[in-house]
Amino acid sequence: MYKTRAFISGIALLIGTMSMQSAPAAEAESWKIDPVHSTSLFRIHHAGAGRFWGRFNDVTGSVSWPRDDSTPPAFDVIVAAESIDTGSSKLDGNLKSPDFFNAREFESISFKSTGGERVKKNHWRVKGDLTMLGVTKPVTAEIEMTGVVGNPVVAKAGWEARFAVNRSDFGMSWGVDNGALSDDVQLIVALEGSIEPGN
Amino acid sequence: MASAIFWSVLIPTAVAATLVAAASWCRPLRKRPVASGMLVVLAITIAAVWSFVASVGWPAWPPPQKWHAVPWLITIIGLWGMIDVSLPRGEWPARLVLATLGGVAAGWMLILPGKDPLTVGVVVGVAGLLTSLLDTRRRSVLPLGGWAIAASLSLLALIASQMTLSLMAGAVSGSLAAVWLIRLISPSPEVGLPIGGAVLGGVLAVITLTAWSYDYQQVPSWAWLVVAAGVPGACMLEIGSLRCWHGALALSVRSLVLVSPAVAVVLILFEAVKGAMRG
Repeated sequence: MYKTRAFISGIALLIGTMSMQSAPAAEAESWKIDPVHSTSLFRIHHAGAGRFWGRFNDVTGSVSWPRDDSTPPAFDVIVAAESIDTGSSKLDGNLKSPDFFNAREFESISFKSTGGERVKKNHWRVKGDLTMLGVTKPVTAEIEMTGVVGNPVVAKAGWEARFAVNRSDFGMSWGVDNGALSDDVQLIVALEGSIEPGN
Repeated sequence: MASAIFWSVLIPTAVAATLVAAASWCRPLRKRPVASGMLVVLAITIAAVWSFVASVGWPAWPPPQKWHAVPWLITIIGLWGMIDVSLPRGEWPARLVLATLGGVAAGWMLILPGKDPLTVGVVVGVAGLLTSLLDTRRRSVLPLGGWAIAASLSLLALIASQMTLSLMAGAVSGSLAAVWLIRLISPSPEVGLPIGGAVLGGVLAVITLTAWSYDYQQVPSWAWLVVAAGVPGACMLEIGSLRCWHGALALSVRSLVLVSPAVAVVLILFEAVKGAMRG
């Protein structure tokens, strides 16, 4: 009797282990970025004195990411250059001009992931290509997965990316030499993606 | 901003003024109107290109941004101006051919948002041709009018938040003011040296079209048109009986008529100019 129970237990354990080993990682799902709850902030040093913040209000695109966080999120984000908002219409006009974002000619700024590595739980270091003013440069962003809620059909998830760029690398060099505006720009991009029927 | 004005307006203006002074005061050059005229063309071209390069750097070709074709095109217009001032006064067919080539170069090189290449080519070609023809009359109203137009253009570009083009127009304005002043106090102003020819109209047309194309309606279209109409307006003074009107009074009235539209635009938009300068 004891041998029979031990045999059955052994078989059950073996099957359980095999099933655990063969459990596939969750497949990446496509999360549509919600422009209302997403924003892109930038910070730049003005005249060697204060640091001012601005934002882009129109952020769209998608994130490919599995809910079990087993692979890095893959971003495909587009920011409308004309949606720049500093709280000053005069400053917005300056930044949309050819000297800066040249929004009439380059309507969007985009980021597309090329890969990533896990830093710790819910934190990734994602590499990708940032395209601005028609120039594409590789950048590395620190990503925090800020949360996921919902069910298999309707869900929301959030990510926050932090990275820095030298704007002169993209051909935006006005004010760099004379110190009117710093070359390095800090960026924080907060994204909320959703999965809904019909997405 | 003070540093930008120093490097992109004052230094190029000083370089241009030095070249114009050499053209006006060096005895060997005064005796050679063609060489003198070429130096003035060089002065205006260098002022414009230097100003751009001091702000943006020398752009690659093909330009990474469409408006970065401006210094390349102005260099071509400078060459056009050099050939133009070397032509005899009555050589209008050659001037027409040069203007056509200049217009084709502008239409091909300067692809602006919202402006078709044909319009760009025709405007630049016609503006250069008109100033070229006007320059053959050797009147001092041309640099004075050009100075007023370039200064107004600089302020309009500033309202439109386009610093590089504003500084560039400022440098051209400064160099034209130097041409006018140096010629006024020149030891032999009666020599009737060329004062820029096609380069003056061509450069002003290029800056106007570029600044207008990138403007987010911060400057009303009529303001761009009035300022841009300054060069054809100058030619109106050369038709009919007006062309035979000489003397100090004629010069004053011509100058006043030429400068008035540009000054009026600045006065009408004065509050916007003040706001732009504060920014």
